[in-house]
Amino acid sequence: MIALATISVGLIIAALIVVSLRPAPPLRDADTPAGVVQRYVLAFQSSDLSAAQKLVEDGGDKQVCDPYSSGGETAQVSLVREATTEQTSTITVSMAYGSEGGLFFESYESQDVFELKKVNGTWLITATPWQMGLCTAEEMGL
Amino acid sequence: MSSPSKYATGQTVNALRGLILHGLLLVLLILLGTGLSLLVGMALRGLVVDDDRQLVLATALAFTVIPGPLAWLLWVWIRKKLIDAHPTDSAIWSLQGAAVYLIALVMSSVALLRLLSGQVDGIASNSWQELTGTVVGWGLVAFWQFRMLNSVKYAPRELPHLAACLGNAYALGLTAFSLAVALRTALDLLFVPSVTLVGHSPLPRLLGSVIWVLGAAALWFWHWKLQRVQALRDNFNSFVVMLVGVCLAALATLLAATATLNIVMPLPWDFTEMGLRFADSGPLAISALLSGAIFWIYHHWQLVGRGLLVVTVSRQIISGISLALLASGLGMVVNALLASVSSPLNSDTAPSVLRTGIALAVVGVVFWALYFRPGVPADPESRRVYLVLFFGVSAVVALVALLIVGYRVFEILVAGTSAALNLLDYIRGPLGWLLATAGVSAYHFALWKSDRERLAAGRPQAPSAPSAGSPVPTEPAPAAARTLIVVAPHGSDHLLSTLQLTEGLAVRWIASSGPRLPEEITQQLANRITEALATLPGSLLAVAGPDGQVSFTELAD
Repeated sequence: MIALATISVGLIIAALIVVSLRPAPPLRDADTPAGVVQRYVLAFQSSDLSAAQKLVEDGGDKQVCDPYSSGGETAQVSLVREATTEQTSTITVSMAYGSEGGLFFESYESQDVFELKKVNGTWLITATPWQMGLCTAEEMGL
Repeated sequence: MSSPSKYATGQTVNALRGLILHGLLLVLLILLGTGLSLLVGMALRGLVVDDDRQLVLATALAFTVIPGPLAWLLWVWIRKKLIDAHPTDSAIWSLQGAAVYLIALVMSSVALLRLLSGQVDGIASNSWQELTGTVVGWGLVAFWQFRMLNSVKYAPRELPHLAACLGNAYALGLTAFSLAVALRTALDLLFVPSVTLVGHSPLPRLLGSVIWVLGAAALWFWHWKLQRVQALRDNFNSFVVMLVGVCLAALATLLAATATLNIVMPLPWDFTEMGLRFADSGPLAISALLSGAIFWIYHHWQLVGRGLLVVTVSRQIISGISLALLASGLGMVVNALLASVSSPLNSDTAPSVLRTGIALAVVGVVFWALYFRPGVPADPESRRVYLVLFFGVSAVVALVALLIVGYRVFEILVAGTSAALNLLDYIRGPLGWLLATAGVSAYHFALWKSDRERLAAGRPQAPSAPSAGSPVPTEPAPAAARTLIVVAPHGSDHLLSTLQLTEGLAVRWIASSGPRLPEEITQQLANRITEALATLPGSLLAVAGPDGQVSFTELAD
């Protein structure tokens, strides 16, 4: 039992060390699909609408689709899969929302897809997960 | 004669009255706890009353102002009767006190731990005022109830340590659970790689779960060591500790071991899929396994000095759990093997069913063999209940499985669809169950019959050699049946609490009129009574005199 207890404590301490030493997620190059997605999510979460619009195809007149859902704000976005061809790219991400409650943080996790297209040599986003989307006024039904 | 029946009715009326009074007190205290928490929470917000908080303030005031004085009045009325209460009343008082204590403890400890971990783990929370209110409000109720239960004047004489025992069980469960959560977070961070694009550092979450573990462990330590729940050796407390510490921990450990084995076995020989399984539920399984194993081993070690009955029952419960796992595993294995014989459309569930079945069966068979010891001839008396229970339950499950098999066979015959190959695929699930439970049932029935024969053969010899009789069954009997009735003046509670810790002894106190005894005389009394318990067999009546003399009368059982 002492051995097991030492193992448990050791694991927790190891995790604490590993996590403290882990660097922040690096900012990827702006000309890779993953980099574009990363910048878009950062802009979206910090409510920087103009920056987000620049990364979306025809983004000039689009607004946040669902301004009242707070889901996208605090999500942690991880890269699951990237499928890139010459002109298009599909990036699958998993978004995890930590729920409050101390002991029971069953972080709600969902997987969704960003679609990108290469327009004039730069990657632009054509489709986003619904939590982080920008829509035209027509799409929003206004 | 009318007086015994009048006495009986009188007793019922008293018990009923006690139930109603204490029930009222319970409800009032719970309302008071709620009200105080809300009130303190609102006060911390500066009593700002905007639209949504109006109702909350009204509720808080109503739940404090009304139950508060009423509870106080009720308590003042009840406590006069508690000083030398009838055993039934004492038991009801202990139950009520333990219930209030447990509820208040749960509410306040969870709120406190959420508050403390919320400072660290960075989950945005603007409800610290409510949490503090809960801690203070329910904490006050818990503290007061605990003091009343442990005060010299009002401590219940029946089930005296119920509150501490239940509090300990709760703290133990909370510690084990929070340890599993912390380990799971740690393992997730260590071994499940994820490419994060955007996100906060997971360090605060890990720190928050560590705080939960430390807080819950402190609560458990307080109950276990400082409230001396560990030292309580009577049957009830040992049973509660055994149920929570050994059996629940064993159940969690066995299930987690099965889950781990399930992940690790490369049954469809595909390591990517194994990696996916591990990423999905690996940390959870391993953390539950570690946490459960720690507490199981610790309590197993703790049960060592506690009498044969508790140990036997714990062994039987664990062997029952492992047998259930074994039977389920065998059923799933049969199911999967039949699936490979028939040729269904989706054949890719068969390997995973087979893998889970093998995992269950392996874990089940290992622990069943350890705890049931099928090879060693066991004492037939002690396991009669267990065998009959298992034979009965598995027979019922086998019957249900047989019905399902029959129903499906008839359904195919009547509907007359396609070939007989479909039949096998259709019935393989319940057929697996049927074979497994029929096997279990038959095995236990055979054991029971052989035990009965051994008992019947053993009995004629028993009266001829009473002194050299079988040592095992008689060991628990004398220890459990002793009663000690002490007649001593008020204030001898110290004496009683020492005696109540003795195993296998039921202590009753009848208060004698007369002056309170000084401390050394109480100590002398305790020593004399302990000596007498060791030398005289059977139940005793001890009447304490004012100068430390005790007269003993042996009681007929």
